[in-house]
Amino acid sequence: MLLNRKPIAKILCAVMALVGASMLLPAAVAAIYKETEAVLSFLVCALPMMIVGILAVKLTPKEDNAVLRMRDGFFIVAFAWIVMSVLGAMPFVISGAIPNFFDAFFETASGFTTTGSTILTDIESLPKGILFWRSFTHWLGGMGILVLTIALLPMLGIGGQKIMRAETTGPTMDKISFTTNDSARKLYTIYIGMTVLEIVLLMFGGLDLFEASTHTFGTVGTGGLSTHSTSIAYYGSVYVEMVIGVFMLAAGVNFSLYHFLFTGKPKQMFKDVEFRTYLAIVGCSTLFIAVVTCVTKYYSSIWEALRYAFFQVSSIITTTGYGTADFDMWPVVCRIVIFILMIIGGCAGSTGGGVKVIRVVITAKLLKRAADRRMHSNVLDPIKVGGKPVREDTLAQVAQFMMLFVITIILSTLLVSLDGYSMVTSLSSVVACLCNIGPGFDMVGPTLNFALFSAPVKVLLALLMIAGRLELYTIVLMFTPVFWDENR
Amino acid sequence: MFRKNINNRKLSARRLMGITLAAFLGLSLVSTAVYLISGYITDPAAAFFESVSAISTTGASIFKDTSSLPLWLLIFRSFSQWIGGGATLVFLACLVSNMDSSEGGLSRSDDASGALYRTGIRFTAIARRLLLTYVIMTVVEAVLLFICGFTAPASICLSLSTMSTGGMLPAGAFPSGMGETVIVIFMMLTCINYTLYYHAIKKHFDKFDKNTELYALLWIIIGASVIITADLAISGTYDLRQSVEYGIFHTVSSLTTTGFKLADLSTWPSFSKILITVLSFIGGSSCSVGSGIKLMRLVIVLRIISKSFTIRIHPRAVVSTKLNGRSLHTTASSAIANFFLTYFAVYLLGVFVIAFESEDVVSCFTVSAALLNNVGIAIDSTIDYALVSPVMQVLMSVLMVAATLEIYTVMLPFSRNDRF
Repeated sequence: MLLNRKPIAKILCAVMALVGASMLLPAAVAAIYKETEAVLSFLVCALPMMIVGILAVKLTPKEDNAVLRMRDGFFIVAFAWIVMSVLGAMPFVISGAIPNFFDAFFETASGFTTTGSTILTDIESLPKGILFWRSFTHWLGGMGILVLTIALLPMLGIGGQKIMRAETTGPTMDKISFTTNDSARKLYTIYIGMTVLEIVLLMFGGLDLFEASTHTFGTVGTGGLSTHSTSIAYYGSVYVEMVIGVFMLAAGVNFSLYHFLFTGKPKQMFKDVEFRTYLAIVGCSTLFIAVVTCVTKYYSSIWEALRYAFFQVSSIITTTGYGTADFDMWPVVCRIVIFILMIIGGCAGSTGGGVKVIRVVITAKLLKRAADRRMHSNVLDPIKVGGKPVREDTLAQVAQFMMLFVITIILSTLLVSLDGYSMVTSLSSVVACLCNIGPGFDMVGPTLNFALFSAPVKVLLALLMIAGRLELYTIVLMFTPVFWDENR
Repeated sequence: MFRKNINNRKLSARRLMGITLAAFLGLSLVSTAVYLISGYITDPAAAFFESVSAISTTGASIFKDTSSLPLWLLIFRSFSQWIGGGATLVFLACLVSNMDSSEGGLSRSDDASGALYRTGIRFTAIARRLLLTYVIMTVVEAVLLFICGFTAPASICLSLSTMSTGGMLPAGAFPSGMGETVIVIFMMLTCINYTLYYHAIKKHFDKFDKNTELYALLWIIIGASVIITADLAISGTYDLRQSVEYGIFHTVSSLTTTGFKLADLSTWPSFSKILITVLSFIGGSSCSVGSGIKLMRLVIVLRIISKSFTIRIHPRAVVSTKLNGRSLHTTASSAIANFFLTYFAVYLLGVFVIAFESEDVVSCFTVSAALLNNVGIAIDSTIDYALVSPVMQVLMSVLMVAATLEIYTVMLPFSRNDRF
């Protein structure tokens, strides 16, 4: 048999129960704001999902010897996200907030994948409960349903290591050797700690609990859906911008590095090559954009330029997508810098998307070695990251990832352009979705939205978001004949 | 190191690259001098841009209107493209003949394509064959164009520009009809691996059966022409006859990186615009005059990717990348993968550099593609090559030379010296 159907069905049912359970929170929020219709639509979705899900898990006998192979792992991960996005879209459709199913699917996928692209034109008119659910999907997706599943899977009686392979964000160099359960607990703690801290800090900035929490969900999950159509620019407050800006940056760092912070070795953190490169990229691009926008008189003072440049750079490199300025109006060279930052993305092991800083570092070294080999022909040095040689098969995998990434962008851009919008719109919408950013350029710029695309393109973009979130291969594999061929 | 070279009577990769780079610079400077002395271009940077554009077979021009230029200058322009095309062939012959398989990725990547290498013929013999084919085809095309009703100078210019995949037009509008067909056919011919002509003469027709690259070229041309024609016809941009004409012509013109322009591409639907741009990245076959990434490499890259799917499902599986029935050495496939990535890295760098003097985002992307791929047509571009600053003209020239000389050659001056 190609796939182990029983354990797969079991896990997907557990995911369904989990999505259902997490809808109870927005239902409670809706109840507080006395939005009866929203409360009902959440409950109508949540209860059947929970009942069916829990029953399915309970009734299937525990299989101790169920072995999950790579194929099963990829299938579970891919379909878990698709199922989540479909189920998560239901409250939007039922409550009438987003009547069209494909729109709702796009919006939910954008939420769970922490992308932050929206198809909504009038955000403020929606009920609070719905807006809360929209942001809460970021928070859920941010940690990755899979990290949740690591804790969940042992309860189901199946080891989770296989799935970790499909899910790990990027080629992490320093695997801190806890058991998965232990590291999962540490990650939660950090994630929840960050969330609480940011909510408190934002409330000091004058936001109420609802706005503070929705924006925090978008920040720590590097999502970027806001409850205002003008995003963070709505507040016009330097304090709020700085809090969100710094927390976005923090969410783009490899979470396992925070381990050093708590064991009293913060210096170890700065020894990490990826972390240092990440900070250097943020610093350089912020300065560059600030200087250019200041010199071209786009901003009147360097402080103003720095303020907007820092927020936008932090928002884009971590693939969050919050906005305080319309970067699509900036000088062209700044827009190109933003475009390149979109592709780079956050660090491996963070909630950010993109190709990940570590892959960029490895690719740069790989290309340098390739050039040396051409010129000197007998260069055989291993590539080192942080003093440790990288295995050749890891290098090959990074190169394969990058090539697949380029090809995916090209082919998807062609498909998206069938809708007939400009070249920049097509390209940037693909990049914005695949790298889980949110806004793109031109007609999908920071002040605009994705409502203009046709339903098939929206589904494609939603799939790209999921593909980008799951390190490309998980979703792309579902479309390859190799995956479905039993003999290979 | 030095003595080893003498013993093997082979050039090191580094020296070969150095020589090529020097030769290209020399040719460009001579041509720059011609423009400056003639007085039609007064700015040295602009003259250098025009020269490099011709010699790298790009065909981007600082002249918006060529009708005011004297005939000799137009012929000179086309001729310098032709020389550039010939020089590229010699350079490729060098790559094929000079490196043996112990010498690293350079030869191996091109070994995969250069069927000549395995015949063990020496450089001069290969170069002579390639150049002879080049000359004969140019003459044949010129004669055919003359028969189709072009004037003698026009047919010479067109022939020189077609065979070199340069794409600079002599003057006036592009006449349609028979001449157009001739040009389409010769654009395709010049982008087929030149070693295949040698095999054709020797009647080694089995080489054609096994040649993946040739089939890929034909399928891409057929596929892309049909798709673009359909897109143009369905979107109502042209009527069916014109859609077919422009669809085929622009597919071939872009894929072969020639860059002849027949229609106003800015009115096209954006799908066709993007496809035309993507085609220019693919470029011609290996060991041909066309630039770009080269089909052979693209085929291998796609095979590496499809292999990577199997590896993801079966992490311990050992799968080899195959080409023309032989399996490819790992170093060769990784050299090609790295080339592919380097190409896009350089492309992005080009986009960034051009952005300094661009007024919109789309121009950065299309101009960088037009220059790096040596096509010369930048769709929707607002950049006027004559009006950008001299520094930008020189940087753009570097971008044009980069792809002609397989990227790495241009990096040579920046590489470390300690191993030489």
